[in-house]
Amino acid sequence: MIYAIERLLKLFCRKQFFTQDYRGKFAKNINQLIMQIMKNKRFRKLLFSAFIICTVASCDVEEVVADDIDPINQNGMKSLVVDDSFDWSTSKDYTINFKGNPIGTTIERPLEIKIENGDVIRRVNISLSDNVSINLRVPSKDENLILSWGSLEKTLTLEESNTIDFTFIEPDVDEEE
Amino acid sequence: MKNSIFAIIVTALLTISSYAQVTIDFEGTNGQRGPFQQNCWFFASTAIKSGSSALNGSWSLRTGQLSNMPDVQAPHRLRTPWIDMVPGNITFSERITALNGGAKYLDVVVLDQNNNVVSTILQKQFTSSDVSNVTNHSIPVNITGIHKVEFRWYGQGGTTRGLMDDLSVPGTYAADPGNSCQPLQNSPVDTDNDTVPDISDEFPNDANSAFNNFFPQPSVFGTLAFEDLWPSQGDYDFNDLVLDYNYNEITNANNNVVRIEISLIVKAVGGTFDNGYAIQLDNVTPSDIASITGQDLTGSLFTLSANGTESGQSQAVIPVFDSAENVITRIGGGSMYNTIPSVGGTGVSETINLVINMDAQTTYAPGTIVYNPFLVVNQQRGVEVHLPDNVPTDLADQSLFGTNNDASNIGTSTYYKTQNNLPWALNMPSSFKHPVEQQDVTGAYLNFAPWAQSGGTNFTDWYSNTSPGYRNDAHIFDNN
Repeated sequence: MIYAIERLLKLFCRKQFFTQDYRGKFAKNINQLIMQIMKNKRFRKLLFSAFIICTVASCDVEEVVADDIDPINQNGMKSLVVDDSFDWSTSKDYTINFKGNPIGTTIERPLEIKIENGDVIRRVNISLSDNVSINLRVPSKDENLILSWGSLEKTLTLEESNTIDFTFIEPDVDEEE
Repeated sequence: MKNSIFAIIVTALLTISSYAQVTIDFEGTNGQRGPFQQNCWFFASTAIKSGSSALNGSWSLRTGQLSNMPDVQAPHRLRTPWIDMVPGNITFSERITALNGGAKYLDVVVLDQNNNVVSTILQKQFTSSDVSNVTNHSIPVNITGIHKVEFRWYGQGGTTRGLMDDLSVPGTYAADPGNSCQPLQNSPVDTDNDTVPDISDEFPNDANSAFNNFFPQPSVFGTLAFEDLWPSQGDYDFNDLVLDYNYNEITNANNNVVRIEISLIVKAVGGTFDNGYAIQLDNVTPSDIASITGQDLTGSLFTLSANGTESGQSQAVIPVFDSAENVITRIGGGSMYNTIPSVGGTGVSETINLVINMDAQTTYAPGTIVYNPFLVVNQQRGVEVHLPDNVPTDLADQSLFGTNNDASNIGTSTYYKTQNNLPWALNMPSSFKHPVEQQDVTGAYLNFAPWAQSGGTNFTDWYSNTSPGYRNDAHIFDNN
């Protein structure tokens, strides 16, 4: 409670109080006070005297703790200029189109999708002849996934496109001669 | 009578043996050997060719020039995968393209599991008639068990090539491409009989469950961080409600999600509002949910249907808690919780283990369910705060859209963003140490602004502590 009053008064004592930046904080603290008072009606009687006492004290405290909000960043977020299309997502959704082997076997086992540290994030039970689409969300910072089906394993490079084709079949290198 | 039974058994055995064959006609891959190699066929100095090389259909096997005799092994070979052979005939067609230089040969052998020759079923020296005439072989073999058949071409000098097509070996395919082409293990143990062998089944004793599918990853939590003054802007410390989460979609043998296990930990409450929290599954209807356990609801903020979803919603809304106070244990006083260092107001949260059981008729593939977490502000059910552009629920008070700092526009499906495209919530795929009270996130995470201003291209790991210069620890709450 004391902390709430103190915060409220700190805000009140600031010159920037009436800027939009502080309205949100002030509303927050007002609400806090109201809630506390509503819960404890006896406190109403003490509030007025506490308000007077704290006014002076809090304004003095303000000088001491004025740097509790870094002035450099006071408007940091609000001053950001971001593209309208930016979605603030830290992850990316991919559809991996697994291209099955046209003459594949029907043996089933899980296709495992791992992130680079080896942790498995997806298991899909498939045969090598299946064509399947796999949806998954990957942190945007990740650059590769590792796909394995038993002993078959291949690294998939995550591309800008959300849709990626994948097959375990290696391209043919003619070694007939 | 006995003769009839004997005749039936013999007929049945002949039928089985005549149908159980491993074949290759080199068609269907447009000349690519990769699909066959993936199925454990082995090619050495042999390729799949069309045109005049095709003996039947569009494609046949063609060797390189048979100009070398075997040193350790024949220079041109085709080897089958492991086959569980039964008595019958090995059939194939072959010829050569020309006959020049020295003598040319083809051997066909059967190999055991140690790659030793157990039978040579053909040794042929080509003659000039093999240039123009296709020979159709049908060679009886009386071999049972796991074997391979290998074709070996060789010769001396010249430009002769061997051609071969339509190989059929009596038996069943017995190689495992997923086990380095070793012989297939017969009848692996499957305790719950869900068709997923125990060795692959993460729930070997539960026929309804087979696999875990995590986000962000096993035993790793992501973080949701909210500002709760919507539709007004707050102080952007993103600590009014901070939740760590881990999602696990558990699938069955058919790759359908059967239940969702969500672990949640309230890391911070940096405001005075008494907020609730819920998750809408945007593409799931309430009837798709069979039941829910683990909700922590003590008040009347949410009205539940029998299955635990919120009533009055067209999409499945899963109320998780109606007050963060339900799940946290405070140490020290004040309304703040884990946002002000050294002033008390700390504490611990219980881990909320939410389990959403899907209706048995549903067939959602993992990764297709859209999670839309949201905060309900200060017990006012209509006041929701979602991640940017996540849709509001049916019970959101739409009259608030576009008021104060909010620039939501139903017509353009723009939600929970300011005119300057600023959000009220962030979602990080790893546990995020939130800013201390009233510290703007841009001052705490020094690469946040560059990330946002690059449209998410630069510093995609801004929320981490990858290297010095990523964050200002003085502005970050860290009670670890």
